[in-house]
This record gives sequence, C-alpha cells and structure tokens, in this order.
Amino acid sequence: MEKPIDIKALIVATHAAIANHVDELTSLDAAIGDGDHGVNMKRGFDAILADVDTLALMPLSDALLAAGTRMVMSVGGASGPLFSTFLVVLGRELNTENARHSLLDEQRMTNAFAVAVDAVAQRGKAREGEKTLLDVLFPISQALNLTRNCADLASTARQAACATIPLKATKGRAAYLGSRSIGHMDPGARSVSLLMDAVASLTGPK
Amino acid sequence: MAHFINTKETLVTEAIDGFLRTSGNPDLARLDGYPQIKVIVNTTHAANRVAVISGGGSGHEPSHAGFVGRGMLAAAVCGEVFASPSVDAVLAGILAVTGKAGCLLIVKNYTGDRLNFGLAAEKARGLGLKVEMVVVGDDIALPDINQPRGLAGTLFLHKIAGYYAMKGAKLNKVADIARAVANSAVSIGIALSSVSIPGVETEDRVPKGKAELGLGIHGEPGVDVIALENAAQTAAILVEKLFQSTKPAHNYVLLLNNLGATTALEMNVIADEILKNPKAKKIKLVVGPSALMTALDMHGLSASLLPLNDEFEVALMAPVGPGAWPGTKVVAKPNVVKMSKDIKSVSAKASENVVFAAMLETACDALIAAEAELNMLDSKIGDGDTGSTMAGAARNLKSAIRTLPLARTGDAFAAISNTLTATMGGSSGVLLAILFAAAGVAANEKHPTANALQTGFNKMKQYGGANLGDRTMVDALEPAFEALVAGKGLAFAAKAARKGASATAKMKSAKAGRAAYVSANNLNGIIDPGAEAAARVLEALAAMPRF
Repeated sequence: MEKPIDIKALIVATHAAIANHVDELTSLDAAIGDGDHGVNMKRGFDAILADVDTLALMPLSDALLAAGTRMVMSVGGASGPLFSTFLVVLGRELNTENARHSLLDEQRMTNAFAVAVDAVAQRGKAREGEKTLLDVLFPISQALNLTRNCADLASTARQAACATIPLKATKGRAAYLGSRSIGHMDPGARSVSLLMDAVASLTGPK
Repeated sequence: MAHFINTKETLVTEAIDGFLRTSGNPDLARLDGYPQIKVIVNTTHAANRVAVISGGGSGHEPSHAGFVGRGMLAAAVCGEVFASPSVDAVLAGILAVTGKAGCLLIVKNYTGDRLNFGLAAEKARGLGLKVEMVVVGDDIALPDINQPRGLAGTLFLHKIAGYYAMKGAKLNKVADIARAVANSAVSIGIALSSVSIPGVETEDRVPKGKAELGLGIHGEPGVDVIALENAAQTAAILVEKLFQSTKPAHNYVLLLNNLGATTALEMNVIADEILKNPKAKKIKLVVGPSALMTALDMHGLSASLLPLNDEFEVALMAPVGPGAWPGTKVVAKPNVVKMSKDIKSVSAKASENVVFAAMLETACDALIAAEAELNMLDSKIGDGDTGSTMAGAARNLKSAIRTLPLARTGDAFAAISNTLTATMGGSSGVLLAILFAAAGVAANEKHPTANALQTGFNKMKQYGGANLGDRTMVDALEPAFEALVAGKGLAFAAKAARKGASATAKMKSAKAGRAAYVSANNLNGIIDPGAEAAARVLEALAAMPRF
C-alpha cells in the first residue's frame, strides 16, 4: 500500500517552489526568451493555490485535471498550455479505481506519466534534445521505470535541466537565437526540475 | 366571439355557394330555391338507382352537403344553423333526385328532422314515389333513453347505403342494410367547450379543466361533467363506453370525428390512445380522424363504433366521389424503420487540447453568466428565452468538453455541432450547429481555424437568411470573423463584435428572426440578444491569456 497523496501539501509545495524562484526563472528566460516565464508560471500556480481547498477534496485525478484547467485559464504563451496538457493528461490517465482513492500504484503512475509527456511533446510538436521542458520530462519518465524514490527522480531532473545548457534551441522562442541559445539553461526545463524537487520534499528519501 | 360572416340570415346560402365554387366537382349543383330551399344534388344520379338522401340543420359541415356524390348521397337538404330544413325543402330534394328506384331518407333522430323529413316522405309517397326512411339514434350517452340522438355514426349509413344504392340494390335491400347499420352503430362525444353560434351571443359553460361527456352536436349539455386528466384518460373512457354498448363482433370499424375546433394534433393523439388500448384491439378499420360531422367550433370529438360484417366492410372500403369522405383505412401499428447511424454523433474519440478546452469553457461560462440579461433583452423584442436557450446549450456543452475530440479541430467542431443539435432548441441552436458543422468540414480540409469558422459562418448566413444589418447575431459575428481571418487577433475581433452588437440597437427593423415581427418603436434602443451573446463570448475569449 502506498501512502495517500496529500493534495493540499502538494499544491502548497509546488506553488512555493515556483514562487520562490520567480526571479531565477525570469532571468533564465530573459537570456534566451522574452523574460516572462517566471511571472507566467507563478500566475498559474497562484490560480491553483487560490482553489486549494476545493482541489484538496477531489480525487487526485480530478484535482490534476482541474489544476491543469486553471493553469491554461491563467497562463498564456506556450508554457501555460504545455504544463496544462501535462496535468490534464496525467489526471485523465490516473482516472482509475486506485487513483480515485488517492492511492498511487507506481506502475500506473509510470504509465500515466509517459502518456502525459508524449501529449506535451505532441502539443509542442517537439522532441527530446530541442532545449525544452521535454528534456527533463523524458528523463524523469524513463527513470520512473527504474526507481520509485522521489529524491532520485528529483536528482535526475536536476541533472537533466543542467544538460539543457549546452543544447541549441530549435523549438520555442529560444530557437530564434540559434547558436546563441547555447550556454543557458532552458527555463521550462528548470521549472520542471523545481517542481520535482517540491514533490521530493514531500515524500522525503526512502 | 366574432365570426367571418356577412349576416346570420345569409350565412348558410353563401357557405353552400362557397362550397360549390370550390368542390371541383361539376356534377354537384344546388336547387334554385334560395333562401328557403337549400338542397345540394348530384346531377348525375341515375333514376334507376336508389337515391340516398340526408340532411338536417347546418353547422355540421362537411355534413351533409360534403357527402353528396358518387357512392354516397344523391342529395343533401340543408336547414339553417342547427335547425331542421322545412318539409318543402326536403320534398324538393326528394323530387330532384328520385327516380323509379325510389329514395332512402337517412335522418338523424331529432324531433324537427323526424317531423319534416317524415311529412315530406308522406307527401312524396302521395306523389307516387317509393320512399323509405331510416332514423339514426347512435348516441349512447344515456343508455336507457328511448330517443337517442343521431350523431356521427350516421355517416356509416351514408357510406354503406350509398354503396349498395350505387351497386343497383333495390330500395328495400338498401333500407334494410341501412337499418341494420343504424341498429348497431354507437357513438359518444366529449368536448372541452360548447359552441359559439355565428350572430348569437353564446356563453361557454364548460368549466376550465373539465370535459363534458356524452354531448350532442348542437352545444346541448353533456350527460356528465368529468375532470379532464389527459388524452389517455379521454380515450379510455370512450373505449369503455363504446365497447359496453356495442354488439359483440369479431371486428369493428371506428369513426373518429372532430367536432370542429380540435386540432389535428389532438385528434391524432386520441387516435393513438384509442387504438393502442387493449380493449380496442378488435378495431380493424378506421375512418378519420377527420372533421366529418361537426358542431360549429366545438372543441371536442366523437367516436363511433360499428360491428363489422362482410356486407358492411365491402361497402366501407369502396372508393367514393365526395372529397369529404376520408376513406376507410385498415388500422396498422406504426411502421418503424431503422434510422441511419450517421445521425448519432459519430464524433471521434475524446482527445486533449487544453487551450481549446479552456476557450470552450470560457465561452460557455460567458453564456451561462449572461443568461438573465439575455432573457431580459429578448423579452423586449421576442419571446424572452434567448438567454435560457444559450445558457442551456452552454451548460450541456461545458459538461461534454472532456468527451470531445479536441486534438483535431475539425472533429471537435463537428462534435460541438452534434452537441448543439442534440441539446439546443430553436433556430439559434440549428444555426450555430450549421456554423460548427461546416467549420468542421473546412477545418478537416486543412483550412486555418479562423477561415474554417468564417466558412461555417457563411453557411449559417446562407441557411438562416440573415445578412449584415438585419439585426441578428450576424451583426456581431461578421465583423469579428473578418477580423480573425485578417489576423487581427481576438481582442480586435471582440471590439468589432461589440461595435456590431451595439449597432443593432439603432436598427429600426429586424429582417430575420422573431424580432422581424416587432415594430420599429419597440425595437428602438434594444440590442439584439443574439448579437449581444456573440459579443459576450468574444469578449470573454479576448480576456483569456494570450497563447
């Protein structure tokens, strides 16, 4: 039996992860994009936090779906729809008996995560190696096949985010910079890594 | 109550001439005895055939003039409204059509008719003619009365006696079969109103929510006043009474008669209820539902039942000349054939597009929030339901968002169209469904979304018949779609829609939609609710984050 997910704690922690790094995300984005990633992400998580009491009463799958909807309703640009797609599809895929009881079967989470990442790739029409959030999402998705330890997953995410630094952007606004995008961490990738850290902080090392 | 008449005195003669002008049957004529003698004759009636003659007071049209012609009556003798024709009039009718084969008078059992037709028959016999008379008293409202009224069951006699007369049967045979019909036909009437006699102040005595059961065809009160529940109850009562009174038989013919002001819809509901009643399963043939023997404008109906035998059945089924006879039909269960599966939403599997989903939800929320205000606007120029119609459809669409194939825009539009078709009434529902259906086709043909929507919009205009300036949602949508296609963005499109919607307030006349029936004064200053709804949706979409 896995521990039930505390949705309220999850929302508070992920919100804090983004809110505490707004400036960092903004400066990452200013280097290779239009500099609004931090503010946009915070706006999305603010909207989710605003409804925390409602969401906390929902089964995890419904809560993810609702959070994704709030995200897209409040965040524009590319990151709003992309993060929203991840949340909505993850929620939809987890919509099973176990998920409704907020108990996570790890294999189900692994599968759902993989489907959600694919959905993000489709929505962004991007692949791995194009200096986007997918460069962190795919490694996490693969690591889920090997480990259930959130700290390990967070570590994988951090390394993957760092690995975007030498990449040349071919998707997203950073692609306009061509080779000049090399040498900067992708802000979307960093956001995913920060969120993974937040999840890990809840569960602690096993 | 007002009536389309000239004078009470000329009503019947003018109506008969109107009937003759429009019957399309050159064999029909009236005798030149106006105003006292009002007789319609079949001029081709052969002297070697029994002449079947009927008549009575007017106000029962198409009875009886409507049944003059081949295979039914040789002559109809008309009195004033609800008043028996005079002896002279009946005699004139007899003399006009009776040859050596003689004539049969079919008389509904009312004192005036019995006396006038009876005396005329005696006079005709005195002139050497062979005359038989059959009196019909098919009313079963009062089971023990010794002089039951003649009601629509009389028409069975017209048809059956008329058939055997046409076939050349002798007078005694025609009269015998007519008597056999008269002895076994039963009828009962039920009504929700009395009658209003042209030129006479009449008062409706039937209380609201009540029905009079067992009433006559002249507005005379019924035997019972019953509480009206529904058509099933009405039909069950009629079936019960008819089968209580009729003679046992293997099969029956039912005649369903509209007493004047019952709608065809109601008559068909009653027909359905009677014929699916288990106690009525021996009803093999049916005549009507039709207005056959009316009581002016009575909101009521009568049902008549006749046990069938081979002689009756052959006669009833034979085709006849008079157009007022609806024909005798074999009762059948409703045929049901499979409908095309294409009508059910064949929409693709649900798929995700969070932006599309968010925009749909935003649009739906805008309409739901605007429900009361749109209703208010519509109540000033229409029937006040625009807001409820739009909000109802929006609620349904919103709850279906997760089931839509949103990843493929064309499929999504088609699915939205299906949802609207299934859930949104009124013309606006169909119009929007057309918009999205056509936009779906265009989007699946790889047209950009804005162009696809404009294509759908143009289809909507084409089917709806409204153009710019006609004071409809077109006034808001057309500039908005133009802006979107030109790549000016949602904010610009929303402003264009708002400007278009505001302009409808100054449009003096609506050329399409329900507001087209409203005068300029009442339209002044009121924004068209459809245009307002469109503007609200675009404004809500424009207020969303930029994607």
